[in-house]
Amino acid sequence: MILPVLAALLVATGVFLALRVAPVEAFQGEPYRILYIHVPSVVASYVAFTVTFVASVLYLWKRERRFDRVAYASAEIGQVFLTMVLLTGPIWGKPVWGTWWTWDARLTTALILWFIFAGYLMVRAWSGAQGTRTAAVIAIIGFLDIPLIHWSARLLRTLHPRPAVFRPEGPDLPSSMLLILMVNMAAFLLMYLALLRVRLGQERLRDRLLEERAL
Amino acid sequence: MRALLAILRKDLTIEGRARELAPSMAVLALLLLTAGSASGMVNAAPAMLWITLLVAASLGLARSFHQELDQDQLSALVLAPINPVLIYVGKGIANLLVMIAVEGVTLFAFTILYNVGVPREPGALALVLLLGTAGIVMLGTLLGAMVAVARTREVLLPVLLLPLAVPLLVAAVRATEKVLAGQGIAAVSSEVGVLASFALLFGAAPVVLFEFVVRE
Repeated sequence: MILPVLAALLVATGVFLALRVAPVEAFQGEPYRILYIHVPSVVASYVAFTVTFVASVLYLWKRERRFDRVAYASAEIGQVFLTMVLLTGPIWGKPVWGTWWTWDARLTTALILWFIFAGYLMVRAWSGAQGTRTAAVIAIIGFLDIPLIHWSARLLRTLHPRPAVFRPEGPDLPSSMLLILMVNMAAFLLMYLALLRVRLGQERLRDRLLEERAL
Repeated sequence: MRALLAILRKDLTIEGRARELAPSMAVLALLLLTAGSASGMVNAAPAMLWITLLVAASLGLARSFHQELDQDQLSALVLAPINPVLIYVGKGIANLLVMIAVEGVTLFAFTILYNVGVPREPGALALVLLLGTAGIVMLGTLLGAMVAVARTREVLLPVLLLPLAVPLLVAAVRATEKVLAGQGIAAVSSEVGVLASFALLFGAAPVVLFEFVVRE
């Protein structure tokens, strides 16, 4: 119970800080504030898909149902965060770049990843019990495909800024902004954990129900 | 090796007698090329060519394992005392041969409908086509086995294949564009790199993963 409450409080704090406390950016003005949702969503979705990848490998290897449940739950939440990334990105891009969309490596990767996991969720929805191993294989090859998608998209040109936070030389944001971004990132990751626990509980319940019905 | 040849012969015999895949794939490919040409896609000829090949492949490969479900042949194959990867390799080679046949027809129509001449370096074009086709078939055959049991396989296969094949599509289209414009193999080295890595990844992945797809 404590996890969802904590996540909700931290998200509310993060939104307040982003809208009220964070300074205005010199070049972009107010629209830049979408950064505080966009970047944490990216991080949360990539964390979620990494969890799905690891859990899928473990599921095929160890053949334990619990790994499959983690993979499924995490993929679903990752897809929600990724949808948020793909919605906030164009809203931010339009006023700042003057265009909703550009075929940049990161944008392309995010969009294609969304399609891959849409397929993953469709397999899970349509293939029933036999679909779990199929889904695990899709998660694995989809994850391994990401570097190639990124590489191929680099053949196209770019508008997206270089990474400002996760880079080898350290973050390149004023501390007033960085701190608030960190709060939001923590909030989104906490939200991910809270949602993951809820979904896992539901899946466990479903498995138990199916078992009992089979008896 | 003998098991592999037996599987390959079986798949080619079935295709030779039933003629289920190649004709429908070829006709679909011709229709797509015609529709593209008629609607002014001549300026985007390389993109049209590769989208056509991908869509035709996804139609055919969705069925390639489905025929094995009739009378539960796939289970019999899996039970045979051979490495299950051989089932994948045999089916993959058969699919590759079908795909190359379809490609021959497609390329012939492509040169006419899109007014494309033989490029200055035909070898470079052949390399791009071969690597691209191999990549599509390797990924598509794995996915074909995965969706064979699904009710909605005809929809599911393209939905899974197209996003995973995006790196291949981007690289193949750009390389074809450059080669048709008269550039040589050196100008497309990074595109060929993407295509080769793609073929490598989806050639290696099934060796580990195919077993999990077909095992009961």
